[in-house]
Amino acid sequence: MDAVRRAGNNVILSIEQWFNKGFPDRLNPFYHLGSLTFFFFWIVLVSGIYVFIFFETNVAGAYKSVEYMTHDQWWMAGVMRSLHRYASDAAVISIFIHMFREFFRDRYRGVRWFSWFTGVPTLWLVVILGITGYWLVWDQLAQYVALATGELIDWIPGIPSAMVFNFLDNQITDRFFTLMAFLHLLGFPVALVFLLWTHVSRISKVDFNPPLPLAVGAFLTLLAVSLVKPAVSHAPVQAGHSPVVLNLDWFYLNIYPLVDIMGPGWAWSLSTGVTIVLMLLPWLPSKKELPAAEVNLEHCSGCGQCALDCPYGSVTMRKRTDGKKAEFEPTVDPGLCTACGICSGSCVSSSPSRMPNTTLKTGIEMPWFTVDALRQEVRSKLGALSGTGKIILFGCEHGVDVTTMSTPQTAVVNLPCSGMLPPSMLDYVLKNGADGVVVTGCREGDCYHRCGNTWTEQRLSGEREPKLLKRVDRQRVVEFRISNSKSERAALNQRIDAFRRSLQPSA
Amino acid sequence: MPKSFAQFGIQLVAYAMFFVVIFYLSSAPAYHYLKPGEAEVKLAFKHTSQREQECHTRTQEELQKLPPNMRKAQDCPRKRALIYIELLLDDQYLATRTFTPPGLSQDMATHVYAKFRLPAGRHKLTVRMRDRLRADGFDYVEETVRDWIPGQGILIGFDESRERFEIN
Repeated sequence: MDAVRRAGNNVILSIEQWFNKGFPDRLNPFYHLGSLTFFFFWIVLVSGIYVFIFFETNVAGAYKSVEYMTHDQWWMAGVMRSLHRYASDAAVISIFIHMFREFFRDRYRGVRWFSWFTGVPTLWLVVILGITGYWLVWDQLAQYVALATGELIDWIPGIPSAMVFNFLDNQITDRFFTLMAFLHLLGFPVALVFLLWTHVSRISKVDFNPPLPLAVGAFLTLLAVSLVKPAVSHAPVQAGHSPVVLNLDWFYLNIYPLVDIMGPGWAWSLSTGVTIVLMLLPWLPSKKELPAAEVNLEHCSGCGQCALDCPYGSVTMRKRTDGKKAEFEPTVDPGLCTACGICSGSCVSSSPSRMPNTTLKTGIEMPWFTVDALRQEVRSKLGALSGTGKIILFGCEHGVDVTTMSTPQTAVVNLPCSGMLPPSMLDYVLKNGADGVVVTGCREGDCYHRCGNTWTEQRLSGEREPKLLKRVDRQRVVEFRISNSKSERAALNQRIDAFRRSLQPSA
Repeated sequence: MPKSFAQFGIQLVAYAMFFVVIFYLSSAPAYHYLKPGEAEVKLAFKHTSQREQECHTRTQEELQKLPPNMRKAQDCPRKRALIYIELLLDDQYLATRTFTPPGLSQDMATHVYAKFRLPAGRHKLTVRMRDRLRADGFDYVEETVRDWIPGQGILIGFDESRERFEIN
C-alpha cells in the first residue's frame, strides 16, 4: 500500500508543480478541491432553484417544461439547466481528485479516518442525487435509467414488489413522479447537507469557499460549456420504443451499462465491493499515531492560543482546575490529535530562552518531541556548524525533503510540521551562532496538517501570536513553502545558496 | 489574475482541460443500448403459478386430530411451481428463463421480468410458459408473425383474466 501511495503521490506532485507555476498565490485548484466542490454545489443549488420555477412535476408536463426551458427560454432557463448539469459533473471530478489526493498524501488514516469514512457514502449520495435528476426529465434516457434502476432495486433479496413495472410504457404515475421530484429537490439534498456536515465535523477551520479568482475561473468555464454545448434532452418516451443510442452522462450514469452487461447482481457486487474496500482503507493497514499532545498546567498561562491554532479541534479550553488565576486551561482529546505539534509552536512558554539550565517545560507539548529536545538538538547542531554563512534549516516532514541537505554550514532540524516551530526559536538560534534561518513548510494552501504553514507565516510576519520578536533581523530569516516535487526540491538548494550569499556574518 | 504570459498560458490550458473533460464525458462516448437493426423484447407480468401439489380433502379422522380452529376441509400445500418460459424466434430458441416464486414458502405471485434482443424484420415470435410441476409441455402458448422494426420495444404481458399472453 505504501508503494502505491508513494507512486500516486509522485504523479500528483509532478502534475501539481505545473499548476503551481500557473496558479501562484495559493490558487492551485488541487489545494482547494473540497471548497471547489462546495462551490459547485452552490451553483447546482441556485441553478436548480431557477429551473424548478418552470419545471412541472408530473409525467405529462415534465418533458414539455424542460423542452420549453431548453429551447424557448434558452438564454436563461436553458443556461441554468446546463449549469445545473455541468456543475454537478464538475463536483464529481473534484470529489474524485480530492479522494485520490487524500489517499496518496496519506491523509485518510489514523485520526483522520472519520472524514474519509464519511466521505465515501457522501459520494453515493451525490451520484444518487444526479441519477434522480436525470429521471425527472422523463425522456428516453430517463426511462432507461428508471428501468435499469428498477432492475437493480428488484434484485435486492427481500423486496417483494417489482419496481421495474412502474416504468414500463404508460405505467408511471404522477404520484410516483412527485415522489421522485421530492427526493431530488428536498430529500436527498437535505441528506447530502447532513453527510457533508458530518464529513467535516471533526476538523476545525474548514475552508468552505475557494479563492475568488479560482471560483470565477471555474464558473466561467462551466458557463462556457453551457453556452457551447447546452444540455439537451433525449427524445420523449414513446410507447413501443426502446432506446438505441443513449448519450450518457458518464459522471453519474456509468453503472447502467454495467447492469446491462453484467446483470444487476454483479453491478451491485462491484459497486458495493468497491465502496466497502474504500471505507475500510483507513485500516488496511491502520496508521499508528504518535502520542497526543500533553498539557503541563504549571507552565500554562491559559491564553488559549493552542486551542485557536489546533487544526483538528483536538485542543479545547475548559475551566481551570489547578486554582491558578487564569480562567481557563487547555485539554487535549487524544482521539482527535494527529501529534502535529502546532500547539507546541503556538505556546508562549515554548521559548528556548526559558529555564536555560534545566529541562525546559512548556504549557503544551509533544511527549515524544518536547521543546526541550528541540532546543537540545538545535544547540548540538549549532555547535557543529563551521565556516561562514552558517544556517539552521528547519524542515517539515511533509513538505520538501530536507534530510539530505546537511553540510558543514547548514544544519537540518526536521519537524513534524513547520507550525511546531516557536518563533522564539529563531531568535535563539540567531543569538547563538547561526547567521541565518531557513524554514521550509508545505506548499501554500496545501499544509499536511492543514494550517501549520499559514500559522508559521503569520507568526513570522507578526500577524499571529506568538509573534517573532521585532529585534530579529528579518534579513536573516527566510521561509520557503514548497512541495516535495523533484523540480522544487532541486531549486531549494539554489535558493538556500542565494540566501547564504545575502547574509553578512553575524557580529 | 495571471501575472505573466506563462501563467496565463498554463491557466488557459488548465481551464481548457476542465472544459474538455466536462464537455466530452457529460454525454459521450455514446452508449449503444441496442445494436443497429435490433429490437427489444421485454417479458413483464405478474403471475401466480400453480401449486406444486394438489389440495387434499381431509378425512374426518384427519380433521379430528387437528385443533378445532384449524379444521379446514382442504389441505393445500403452499409451495408453488417454478415458472418456466421459452421464447422462440422463427421456431428457434431465443431464450429460456426460470422464475422462482417469492416468499418464504415460495407461495407468492411471481413478478416475471426479463429482456432480450431480436433482429428486426419479419419474424415469428413464440412465447410459451409452464407454470405447474411437470417435466415437459406448456400451459400457455402465444405466437405472432409481424414486421419488427429496429428500436422497437415489444412488451409481452400476461392477461390473468383471459389466461393468455399479450404481445404488444
